[in-house]
Amino acid sequence: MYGDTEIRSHDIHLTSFSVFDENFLSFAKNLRTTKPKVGKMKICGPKLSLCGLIISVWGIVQLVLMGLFFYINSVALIEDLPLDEEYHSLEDFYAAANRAYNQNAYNCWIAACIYVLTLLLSAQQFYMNSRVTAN
Amino acid sequence: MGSLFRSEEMALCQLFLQSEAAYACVSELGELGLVQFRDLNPDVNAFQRKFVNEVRRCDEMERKLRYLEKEIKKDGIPMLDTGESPEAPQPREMIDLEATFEKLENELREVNQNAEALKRNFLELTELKHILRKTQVFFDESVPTVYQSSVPRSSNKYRRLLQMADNQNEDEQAQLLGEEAVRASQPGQNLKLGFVAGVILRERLPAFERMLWRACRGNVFLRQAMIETPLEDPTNGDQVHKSVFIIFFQGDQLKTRVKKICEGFRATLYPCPEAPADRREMAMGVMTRIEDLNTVLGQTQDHRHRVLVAAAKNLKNWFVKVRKIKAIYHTLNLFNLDVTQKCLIAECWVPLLDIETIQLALRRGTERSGSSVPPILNRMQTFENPPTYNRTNKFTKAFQALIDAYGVASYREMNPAPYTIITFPFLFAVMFGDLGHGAIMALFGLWMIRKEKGLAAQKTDNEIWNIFFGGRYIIFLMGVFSMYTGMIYNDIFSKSLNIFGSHWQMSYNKSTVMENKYLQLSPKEDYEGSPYPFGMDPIWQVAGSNKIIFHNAYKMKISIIFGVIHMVFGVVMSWHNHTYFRNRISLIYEFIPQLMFLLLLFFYMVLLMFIKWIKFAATNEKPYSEACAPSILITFIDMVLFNTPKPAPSGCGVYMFWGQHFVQVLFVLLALGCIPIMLFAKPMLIMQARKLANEEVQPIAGASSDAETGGVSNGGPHGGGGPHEEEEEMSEIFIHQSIHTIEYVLGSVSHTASYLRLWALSLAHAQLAEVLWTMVLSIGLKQEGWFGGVILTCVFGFWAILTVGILVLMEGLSAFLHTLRLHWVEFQSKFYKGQGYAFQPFSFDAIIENGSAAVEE
Repeated sequence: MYGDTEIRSHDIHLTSFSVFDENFLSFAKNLRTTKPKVGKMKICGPKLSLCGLIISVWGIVQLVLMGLFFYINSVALIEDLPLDEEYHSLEDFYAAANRAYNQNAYNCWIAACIYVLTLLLSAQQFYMNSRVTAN
Repeated sequence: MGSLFRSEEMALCQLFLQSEAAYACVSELGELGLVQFRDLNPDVNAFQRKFVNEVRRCDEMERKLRYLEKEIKKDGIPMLDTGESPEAPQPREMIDLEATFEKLENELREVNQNAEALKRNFLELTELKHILRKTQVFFDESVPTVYQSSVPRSSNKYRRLLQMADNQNEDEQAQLLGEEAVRASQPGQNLKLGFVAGVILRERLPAFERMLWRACRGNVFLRQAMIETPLEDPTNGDQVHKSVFIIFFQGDQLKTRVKKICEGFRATLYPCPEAPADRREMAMGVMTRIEDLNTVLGQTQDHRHRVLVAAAKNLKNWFVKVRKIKAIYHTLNLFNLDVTQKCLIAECWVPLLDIETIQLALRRGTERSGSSVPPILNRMQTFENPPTYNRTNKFTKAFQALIDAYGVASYREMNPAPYTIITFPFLFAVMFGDLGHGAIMALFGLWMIRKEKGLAAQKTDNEIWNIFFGGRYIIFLMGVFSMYTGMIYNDIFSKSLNIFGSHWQMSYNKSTVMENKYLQLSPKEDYEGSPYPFGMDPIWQVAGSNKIIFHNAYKMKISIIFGVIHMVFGVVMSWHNHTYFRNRISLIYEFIPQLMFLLLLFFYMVLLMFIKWIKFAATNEKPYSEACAPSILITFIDMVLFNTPKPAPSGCGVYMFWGQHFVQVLFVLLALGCIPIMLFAKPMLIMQARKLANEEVQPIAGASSDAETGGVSNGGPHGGGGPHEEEEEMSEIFIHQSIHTIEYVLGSVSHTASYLRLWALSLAHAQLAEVLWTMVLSIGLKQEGWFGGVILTCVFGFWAILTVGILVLMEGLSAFLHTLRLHWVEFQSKFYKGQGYAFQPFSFDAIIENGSAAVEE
């Protein structure tokens, strides 16, 4: 279905240059009947937008949760902190670890916000694609 | 309804059909799809059968429909597919259908021919148009060079004057020949230049030019110009590039030569008038004709479109009808004709439970055909092996397919499919244990199940998708089970969740922690005493140096435990087979020693594991403290080889419980004793029984005794298996039995070891997930500063793709294959023969599905 409409819109483009094409009449008829709505901002195809949608949803869920875990100083994630190999006192270490935990939590949430943006973008693209296909 | 545990009971039936009712009855049976007909005239070839003419007509109709379908696809018209299946039409409707298709095909062919002729015409006209346009340029452009020398300033004006003059024709020649012409014409010689104009394929042009030059010794003059827009070839619709050429020459001989060369190069020549005025007039004419032709072509196209749109509405419906008619006549060809020609006789396999439904269908068929004599369905006695028919629904279908891929069960044999529904996803999950990956898989499966109807409706020939979709329930179950084992392993994308709070704590003071690089937590002091409520304690996540060691010990043991239970279950299944087939000898002399062998050696090892887990603990006193725990593997090896175990460290016992040595020796001896029973008992008994039977038969001669022995052997305890076995040679039975025994004994050793793949794959999966996390996602997380969020976004996307691609797809596939192997080899070899053949009922649904698949290929 999708490929079908794309070919058609492509052909219309061609025929506008060569009016003497023998298929002109039938295409003109198609033009009248189908009115293909080619999106104004169609950047990605249906597969890419679906992929973007899934990864965005996944990213939002996982990164929000991971941000939360960093925020509550989860020990399981300590290996993923930007920490030095050695600290001279326990206080130094705690201060650095707390700072890194908070920083990572915010970074995760920032990434989650970016994924909200990509989610909106791919949702819009997906909607565009599905509308084109439906026709 | 039939049970899942064994295949359906089948009966061979004979069916007498009134010849006028046969068509309707078979059609009803086809809708039902529960009857497998047998070919009653296998030695009659396909062309000598009764309904060969009808089948041929159906083939012809199908061909026409395929032609229509091709044309419809070419025009990109959507075909209406309602998915409904119309009933098979009456035989008399076939003529109507034939007429309709004939008409449609002829109409379409005519339209296509017309369109092609028109297109050819159009092409010629277009080429002519180009020729006229280009040649004008050829004639025009040589003017300035001729007159440049003599009248340089007023050349344009002069040329216009010349063109307006009467003798234009001679002028042009004069222009072409230049000064030489002027010179040559002076003596009064009439120098007449001829020319040919035409169109040739662009890629042939260089060869053409060279040929002309050589053949005419350079005495011709060729000009050419490219046609910018590609032209359409009317025969195959390809776009081709062509060039216009014009050749000037002198004399008739050269003319014939040039024409021959043109012919040889497949160039089309067009008459081109010599006078410019004529040319202009002709160009005008050509333009108007092209306009006209365009309208006509448009109308033809419109007409074709209308015909095809009308056909597209019904095409699928017609296909179904024709295929049904064809299938019915094909089936009727399998039937035997009665001597009186009034009656058709069929033989068919029928599930016993469905005889009622079939009889109802037959009655419906008779009523529809208006015949008064009801069809007769009667059961026949047979010694043939009936086909295996397992009734499935959309859920069990995929599991049954996994079993059938190994081999279709023998008739009425235990069907492993119902157990596979649970064991398959479970063993898969043991290897694939990860909450995150399991959730991805389960969500994918769930999505396919929820959208089942919509996805099933849009049939694709994408093979991989069809495999996934066919196994949607397996995928969903595998995902859910993997989530469960993931929680047991406490792994989610290789990280642990600390839900209930770890049951370990640190008892070291500050200075110890500060000064030591490695610290060990003692299970005696730092462990609370009660385990983490569900699954692994999350403390193991941060135990960098011995996490794998601990997991290995645990996972290896559970692999062996699951494996031994799975195999024991398989052997128990063989007990069901032996009792069902009344195979007493196999039950006593095969099943019991097999089970003993497995239980005494391998189940004992499993018991040792549990004893070790229960008896030994860090909090216990010396003989049962953690340091005294023996290695199960070493104990087992010592047991089988009758080794004296190595002395234990001081304060510990060599054995785990009192009398262990005696029990072990006894068990090994008993297990070894089972081997000769498996090996010899059954063939010996068969031999004895045969001898006995021979002795009884020989002294008594006469018809009565024969009948007696015949009756005994038929009603004997062997049932179906009995008569078959007696055909075998005694030596063959011995060889068979020894192969089976060796396979079983060696098999139980190697199969037990084979279950270690559960541990190996689970380890590999966990490690791969961890590597992916630390090598990829950690990079994103370890970025300092606020810009880290942006980097994390990209890295996360990359990590997500790798997770799905490598961990879920590839690891999932490998775990799937290993699970399949564990079922086919380790489990089914214990009881499953798989030597049956599948029940293939005559069903319209299957035929239409296959038919459309075959066409799409």
